[in-house]
Amino acid sequence: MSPEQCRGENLDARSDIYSLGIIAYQMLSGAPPFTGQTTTVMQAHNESQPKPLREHDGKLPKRVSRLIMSALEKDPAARPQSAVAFANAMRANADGLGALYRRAFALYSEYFPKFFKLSLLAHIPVIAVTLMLIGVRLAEPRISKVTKIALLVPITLLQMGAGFVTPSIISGVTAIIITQLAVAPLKPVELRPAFAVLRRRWRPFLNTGIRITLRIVLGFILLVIPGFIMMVRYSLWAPVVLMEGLEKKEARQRARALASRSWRTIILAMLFQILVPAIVGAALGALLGATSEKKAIHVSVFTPLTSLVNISCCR
Amino acid sequence: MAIVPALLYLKMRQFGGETLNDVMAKIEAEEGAGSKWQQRMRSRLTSVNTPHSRT
Repeated sequence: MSPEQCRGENLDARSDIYSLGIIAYQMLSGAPPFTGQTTTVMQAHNESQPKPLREHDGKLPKRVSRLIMSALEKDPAARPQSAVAFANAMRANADGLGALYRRAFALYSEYFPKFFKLSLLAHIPVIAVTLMLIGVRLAEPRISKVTKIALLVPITLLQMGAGFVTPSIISGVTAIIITQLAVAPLKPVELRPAFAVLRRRWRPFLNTGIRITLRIVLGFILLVIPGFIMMVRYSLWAPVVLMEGLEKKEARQRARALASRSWRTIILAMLFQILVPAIVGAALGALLGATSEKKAIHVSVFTPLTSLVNISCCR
Repeated sequence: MAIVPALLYLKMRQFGGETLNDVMAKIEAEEGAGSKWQQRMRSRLTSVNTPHSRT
């Protein structure tokens, strides 16, 4: 019986959330939160705080315990607001990073043509800049040193910009597609509406992206670790800007707040996102380097290609 | 790999018990009102996830 029911007030779905919380509490601790005579139990539901779940079982994950205890809040507004929200939070807490990667693989396999098209479209600037870089490297013997520098500086800057924009676009647009799939699974997946959102919000997207990239770059300049911290803290900025329409400081705060819900998951995922492309890039570079007899060609062509692979795998 | 940050975003929302319908509805609302049928369906989907008072 929820506190508001004990007080004889109007009830809504949040009263059922409280009851569900009581059942979950009893399942995990082996006993209901309050026991005794009916009037004593009613009074306890109305006034007393139940003993924290982790005091019954110390092995219970903190997040699960916190979620169930939140369902037992006296104030209905402090509980999960619907059964769907409660179930979603439960599911998110139950699934680990492995389940997330399995789901990513399953989605990618099922909608491969769409994701491939998205990747190809988002990579157009990177591919163009990489081809320009290869062109300059191949023409190196025939051009003067000054011309080479004059060409390489803007191309390298363009490559850095494209390298930043591409993964952010992919991550933001993919978030829209996946949300659409989660909300309406039977609706056909289309790239056009997702890109329409990007077109509408390109200004806040660039504004926020430039600010966050500068912070990350600055962090990496000041001994790598601050850069990694910035990367982790703001890793969800692109979906936040495109999905929620926030920008600049608000988007940064929201991205940080979302990441803070599970730093462990975010840090592990980021490490994986950095390590996999680094390993793939190194392996590809070593393989192509080993088969190429001309080292000069390796430096000219395969190095930019390896960096392209790095950017492609990164997101 | 491209899907992982997007799934992470959804997962972090779920951690906070946030539903996806509201954010999708916001995006669809920006696209345009759509037909009356679409509006009706959208309002029904939204009302499913909001607490109703009962006696």
